[in-house]
Amino acid sequence: MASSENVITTHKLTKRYGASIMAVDSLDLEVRRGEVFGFLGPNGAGKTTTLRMLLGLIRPTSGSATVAEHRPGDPEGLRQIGSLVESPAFYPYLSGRENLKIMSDYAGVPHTRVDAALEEVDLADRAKDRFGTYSMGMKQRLAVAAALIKDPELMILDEPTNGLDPQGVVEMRSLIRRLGTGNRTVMLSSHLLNEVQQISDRVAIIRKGKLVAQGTVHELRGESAIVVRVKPVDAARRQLDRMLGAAAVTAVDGTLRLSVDPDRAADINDALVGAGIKVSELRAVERTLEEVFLTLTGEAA
Amino acid sequence: MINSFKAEWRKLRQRPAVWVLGGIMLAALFLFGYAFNWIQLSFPSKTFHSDAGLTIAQLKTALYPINFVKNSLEGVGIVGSILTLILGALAVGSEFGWGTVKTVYTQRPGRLQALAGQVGVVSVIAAIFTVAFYAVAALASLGIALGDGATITWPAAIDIIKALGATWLIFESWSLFGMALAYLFRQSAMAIGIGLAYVLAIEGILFRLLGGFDAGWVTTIEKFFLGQNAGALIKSFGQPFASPGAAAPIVTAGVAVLVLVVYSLVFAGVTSLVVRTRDVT
Repeated sequence: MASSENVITTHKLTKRYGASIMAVDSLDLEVRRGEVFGFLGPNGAGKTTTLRMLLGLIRPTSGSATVAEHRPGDPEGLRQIGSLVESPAFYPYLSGRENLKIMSDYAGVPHTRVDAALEEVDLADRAKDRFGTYSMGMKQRLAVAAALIKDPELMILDEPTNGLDPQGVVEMRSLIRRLGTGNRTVMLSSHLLNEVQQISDRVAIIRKGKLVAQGTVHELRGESAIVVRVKPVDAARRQLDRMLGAAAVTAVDGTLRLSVDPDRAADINDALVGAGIKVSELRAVERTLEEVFLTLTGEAA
Repeated sequence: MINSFKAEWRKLRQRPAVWVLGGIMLAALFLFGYAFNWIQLSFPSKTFHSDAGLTIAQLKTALYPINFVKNSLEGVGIVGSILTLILGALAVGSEFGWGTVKTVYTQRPGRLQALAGQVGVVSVIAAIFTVAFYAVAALASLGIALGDGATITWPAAIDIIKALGATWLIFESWSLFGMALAYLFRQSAMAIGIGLAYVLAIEGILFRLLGGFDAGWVTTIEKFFLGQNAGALIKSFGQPFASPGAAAPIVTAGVAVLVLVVYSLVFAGVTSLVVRTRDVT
């Protein structure tokens, strides 16, 4: 059923190992239909544990989750989900094509989808070769192909660029961009924050198993601003206070930080120059997702 | 269930290790059941003698088609147990080694359906091994009889069918034991190691040592063990010649079949429980 707005919903999802290890702590997530959802967190934050719970591989200690309208691990739900969890795993003595035929049998879909999936990930030329001879990039692509044979409405990708060389990263980035088009929902766990920032509609950040932020990339990055370097500063400040309101103007290290839409840069420049103020620098500033991530997770070097 | 069976069959039928195990079993049967015996009897040493006081011509009839079932059943024992235990352990344990358990479970099938597919395919392979086992035995015995110019007489069809059923049940119970161990330990190496230790040390050495006590309690305990019941089922078919001092089966064929079926169900039940409840990490 495609009526629900959320493809994934978790409510106080918790996984505890023994008495002392809290892998995931009361996690509330919402992944909306058709969006690319970035799932971020430092190593050991509980990302993979969360994804494994969503796929029914491990059972939560408490809390609940609904994935593709079903409880995690339900075969009917899994029919709608393509996934790549950690490293790609297939039968090393079989070819890529044979591996996909096995996966299509398990998924209950016809073998006719296999060749299309191999084409989609650019593996058709090596489809007859044994999986054991594949490079890491090819293995990752085969895993994506195994997910695609179900033509899933939801893709869950856990660190899909792990272990790839720069060329492999570029190829995988391009592939993920293609996967995220149309109505398909993609939940992407990655360390490549720049990539996540570029392709994600919404992002969640977890730290030590707890959700520390969830929202659109724009919301998480916060308001953008303009920084100007001017002389004389006092005259410029008076001019800008009148123009933008005092609350929007902050002095920072000899510059003025203006909390306004960067689209107003030309107007501001005209106003300052018209008032006889020398403008030596005027630039828009935005926090990157990486800066937000490092701030929220306390991972700054 | 059918989809899982198809996937499992595609996977295992192309796996060299499966057919290597079958090949070893058939080679052992051919060499130790027929070839070496025929050479020994055809070219006897000067000191050769039979404990039962039989002539070479009489002994050779054990290798002819009339006795191919009884002669082959002896080979089902330890060798068949070990190889089918390894078959079950490899079919499951390697999935943990390769990490394909998570790939399979996230593809779609329910865990129990995936397990049912594995059990089904391993059962079919055990059946193929069984048929191949008796086919090789029949061909070897036919070749020897033709070579010796002996009369070709086959056992009754019902005896052949019973032997096929008994052998499959023995292979099945050992392979399910191997599968259960592999699921418990999440690997094939540990499963095979512990399985072999059980077959050789517990079922083999321990009961042989305890047998020296000639105590009733030993026999009572033996009646509950897998290997002892498999052995009793094999013995129930008799031997080509009565061996002096050979012990009678500890239980009847019917009881042995029942115990093996119960063991198979228990192994399948334990495995199902583990598969259903355990996290895949």
